Amino acid sequence: MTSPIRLVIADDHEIFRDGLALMLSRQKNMTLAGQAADGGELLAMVRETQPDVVLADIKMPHMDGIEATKILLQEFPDLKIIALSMFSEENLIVEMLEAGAKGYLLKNADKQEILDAIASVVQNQEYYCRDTSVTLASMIVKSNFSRKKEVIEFSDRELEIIKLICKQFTAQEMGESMFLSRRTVEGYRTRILEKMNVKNTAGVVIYALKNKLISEKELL
Amino acid sequence: MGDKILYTTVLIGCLVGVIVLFFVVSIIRYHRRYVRLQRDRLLAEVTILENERRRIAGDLHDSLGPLLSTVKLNMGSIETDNVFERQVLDKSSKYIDEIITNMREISYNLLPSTLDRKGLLEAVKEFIGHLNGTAPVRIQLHCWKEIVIPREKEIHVFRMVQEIVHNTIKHSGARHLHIGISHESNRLLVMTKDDGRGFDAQKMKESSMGLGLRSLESRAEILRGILTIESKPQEGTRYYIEIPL
Repeated sequence: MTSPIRLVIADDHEIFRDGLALMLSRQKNMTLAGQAADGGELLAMVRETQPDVVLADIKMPHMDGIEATKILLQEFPDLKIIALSMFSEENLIVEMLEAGAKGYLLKNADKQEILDAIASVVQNQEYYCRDTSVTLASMIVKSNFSRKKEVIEFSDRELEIIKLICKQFTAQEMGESMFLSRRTVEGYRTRILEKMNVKNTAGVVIYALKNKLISEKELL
Repeated sequence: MGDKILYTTVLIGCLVGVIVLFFVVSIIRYHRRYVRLQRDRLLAEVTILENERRRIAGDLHDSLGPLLSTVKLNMGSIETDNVFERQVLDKSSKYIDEIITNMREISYNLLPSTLDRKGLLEAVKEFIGHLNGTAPVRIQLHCWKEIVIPREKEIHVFRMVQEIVHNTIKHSGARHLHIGISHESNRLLVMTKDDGRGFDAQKMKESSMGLGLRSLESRAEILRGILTIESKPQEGTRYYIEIPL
């Protein structure tokens, strides 16, 4: 059994921190190492507890998440930081990712998504929130955040499905337009996610844009 | 005797001249004061409006948003095997998502946070980016150089661009809208051009329909700028805004 993932959460809203702490405290493979109400407290808390993962609100008083991320990563290059955003402010999210955060979540993400995000960054994978808009996806691609191009071969069929995933088709709709069963499409989808090493549609869109498997125009 | 009449005439003439001059100068001064007061009043009104918008957007973001997120998180922590209860919880979670999505939009419309953080150009780009996915008009922004304008002026220029874009989407039936923003030595120019059905600007201003246009004029006035609208039925609409910096 591996040791539990140690977490610190930073948010200036106590109620939200409590809710998050309550949820995380019920997970077997995680422990909450500490909480912080602003960037300054976060720095102190991380220095004291040296956690594996930090969930940090982008907008905080005194020192915001972006500033804190920059400082923390200089001191702890291996620290995984996940940005939390209330209203999906695209520019702020991109700034936070450029500062070195490994992924981001909207604050209305559900339990499973939060756990997915934590699991991804622990494995050193980026995590993009399920609700990522096309605008944000293309901003992330243009930013100096997303990882470098990779050479992975996709079959024609896979490429076709990647395009449809990017266009937000459901498995059912894809099946109908390609004369395949829903199951087959889902199989392809799983394989594509695995190959790209991403968790959801947002990850596929960003990967596809970055590696030019689809153009921004096709998405609009 | 003749001299006396001449002197009297000249004197009266001078007096009348002075009175007329005084009168004219007063009128001009009064008018200037009126214009200044008018502008101050407009500025005060718009400032109150913008502050209020900022406050509401802040409240949505800082108070209601986190509360709703927490409620959703707490609901997610409930573990139940009862199918009916699970359904109720899932549905309620979806409703909360919907509320948050709506709040996000309201907050953005009240005041895009990008404007405060990244300035006019980024805010306009973001605004257009949002619309290009959904609106029937294809909007292109042309900007050649970086735009540097004082903070307090940015919000007004942004609102003017917003107003023009909304007008175009709502009324013009245009398929394309071009927006050019350029910064030249000591002035900012905003030019827009659409291929819609156009309108009679003068008529519109006089009717109650022209609320948006009046708001455009007020903002231009606050910025001591010049607003020109060129539009003819069937020939599209062009807006020119020139703002001294």
